[in-house]
Amino acid sequence: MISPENSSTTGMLSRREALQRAAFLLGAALSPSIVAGVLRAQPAAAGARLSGEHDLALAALAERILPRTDTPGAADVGVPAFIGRMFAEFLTTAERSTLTSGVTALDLGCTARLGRPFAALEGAQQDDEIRRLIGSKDAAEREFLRLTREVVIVGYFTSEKIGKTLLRYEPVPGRYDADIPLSETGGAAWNRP
Amino acid sequence: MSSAPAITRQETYDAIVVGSGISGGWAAKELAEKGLKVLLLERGRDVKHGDYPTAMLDAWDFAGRNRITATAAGRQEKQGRTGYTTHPASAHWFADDVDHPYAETKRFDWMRGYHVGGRSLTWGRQSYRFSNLDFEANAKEGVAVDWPIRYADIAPWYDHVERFAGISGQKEGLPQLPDGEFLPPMEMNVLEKHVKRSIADRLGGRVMTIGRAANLTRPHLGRGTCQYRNRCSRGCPYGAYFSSNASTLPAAFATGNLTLRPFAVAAEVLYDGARGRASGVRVVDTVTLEVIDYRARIVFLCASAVASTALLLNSVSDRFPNGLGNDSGELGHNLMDHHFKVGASGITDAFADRYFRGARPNGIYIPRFRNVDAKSRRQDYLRGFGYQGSASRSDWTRGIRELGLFGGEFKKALVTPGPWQFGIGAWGECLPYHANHLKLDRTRRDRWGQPIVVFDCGWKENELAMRKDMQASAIEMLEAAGLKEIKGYDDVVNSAPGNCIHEMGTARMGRDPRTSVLNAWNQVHAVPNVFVTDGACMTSNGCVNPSLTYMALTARACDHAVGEMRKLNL
Repeated sequence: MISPENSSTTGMLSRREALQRAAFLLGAALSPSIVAGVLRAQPAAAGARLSGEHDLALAALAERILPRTDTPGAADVGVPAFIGRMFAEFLTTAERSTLTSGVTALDLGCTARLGRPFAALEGAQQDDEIRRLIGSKDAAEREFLRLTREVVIVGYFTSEKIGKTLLRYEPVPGRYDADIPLSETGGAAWNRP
Repeated sequence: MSSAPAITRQETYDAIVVGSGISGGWAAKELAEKGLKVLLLERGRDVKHGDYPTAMLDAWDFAGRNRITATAAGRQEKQGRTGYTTHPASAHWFADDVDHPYAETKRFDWMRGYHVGGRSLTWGRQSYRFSNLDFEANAKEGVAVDWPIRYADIAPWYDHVERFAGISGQKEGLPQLPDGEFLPPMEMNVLEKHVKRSIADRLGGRVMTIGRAANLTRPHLGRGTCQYRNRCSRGCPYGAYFSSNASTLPAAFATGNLTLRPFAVAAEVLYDGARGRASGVRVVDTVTLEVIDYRARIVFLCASAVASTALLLNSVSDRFPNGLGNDSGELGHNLMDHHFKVGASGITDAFADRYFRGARPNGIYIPRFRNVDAKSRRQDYLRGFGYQGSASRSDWTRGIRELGLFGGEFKKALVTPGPWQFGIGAWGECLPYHANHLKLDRTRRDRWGQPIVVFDCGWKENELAMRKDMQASAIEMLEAAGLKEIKGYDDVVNSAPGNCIHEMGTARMGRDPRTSVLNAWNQVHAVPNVFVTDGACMTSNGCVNPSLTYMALTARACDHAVGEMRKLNL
């Protein structure tokens, strides 16, 4: 897990905030046992690299999760390279294994059923594959999608371009205004400090 | 290290302070300002105020964004147990578990910062006074031993340290949470104000207040106002929260009486059997491995509850074969922490057009309301708990949990703030149990030849019974506020002792040398020129964050020590 909800975050995280987020997490998508397992996850030795095929598939997956619209997509802000860096230096052994086995299975399945690996499919076919993973009864497939989504979302929203342009960036607010109209930010959320 | 190290040199001071964190910084300041020549020992590296390498970095400036490398994480396996200490923005403020090992009979999460300033750089800054409810509890209930002091003894010292540290907060007039010398309070946001009104209206006037935090809401004694960046745990370039580095150490240096000695592990307190006094502290230079004896008339141990206790246990002599001052056998016992990670959260559709500006480094506080009077008496457990929490609007991180969503609309939604959410978690008192203890394993040594600490500590029936109410009462308050999707939680596994980083009690104060280690002035009963003023001294642990109490007890003990020196009693 690399999400702000538990073992680490993108911003300053005090104990109070960490607990707060753990509370929301525990109440939400994951069971306490999963969170507990995450907090004790053993890190890996560094140095591994994703293969070219895996790179391609994960980059394609990232772009379907956060596609380019009238605002930048995953590729526009360097998410594929971020995935590679996370894999090489930051993910645990278990997480790397989740990614490599998951992407291998995804490509094998796509090739068997559709004649082409994931990255070579049409966008609509790729979306169907993602929906298949979402509804999968196979826990490994669901975990692969969960981890991939997490790395992609973190990589996208902690990028400088998104942090400074789509989100509202104010690194030194200087004061706390406890109640402002949402319209003052143009409806956008603050960049995480 | 050999057992009979070569002493290469000696130096003499009036006072030696071991440890430069919150307690040690105060001891250095108070003693130096009273004219003593003070040597401040710190086992880690020096950190000058402003030397905070990550303070101005954004998320994208970190290669792993929100993670330290797998290799680095492997060196901080225990420090990482909190879930927030080994973030790349602050991992350098936490110890390397490989170089600084400890052992666990039962899981104990010992979080340490080995550098000048210690955990004063990363503390939560919540600052509350103990009350007579706390100081009288052991005696009234027949638990452990009585505190040798009452609120009236410490109240002027709370005033003293608050005036210097700068605590923002709101006076509430509650006997169980005495008011202090506050700077202006921070403000609650719209949902927090709503919850505050709701629980007051529907739960018999129950109080919710803004957190009392050592964050400045106006310029104070040369330090700047909080800039609402909420990057406190990286070190504050504005000096806007209290730390040794920004506050007490500059004041101590200004006297010209302070000598700071980093890279010096205290190995033992030297004991002069003929005089019945400590004569100084033996240290190991962590870089050169040189062994140095520093001499002084008084010694203040402020190395943290565990480290100060370990140092005393390691200071053996013919007179004290079981550790300096350990006539009672209580040294290392009665280890406490607060138990937490239990509470509730909920959301609301209200206030959808409202937001806030600035990252407030503080939340709300709901003071203890159980076992505070006859009406609130519980049959199922002793003592009580307080809640910390906050309201906010969720941000893009909610997308990580929305497992079924992806695509352009999903992306667009994550740029906007999500619904308002409010969550609270309880911090509960833990009783002092003799069975909960730490000891030294002399068969295992660290790189500097020091025996490692072994923990054996666990929650018992009172804590576990209290946790049920901690969750149920949280849910009740969120229901009273009309929130929806209310979810309670109780993560007792990860609320292991130590995880709250309020470890204390292992050299407790008391009235009787046969059952306690320290007297009412934090002096070791049988070695009165040794003072222990960090968390080790605590006779019970209340339910509020303890650092302010360590500050006050330290300043009080310093005043007493200098008075005794002037009277030639020390």
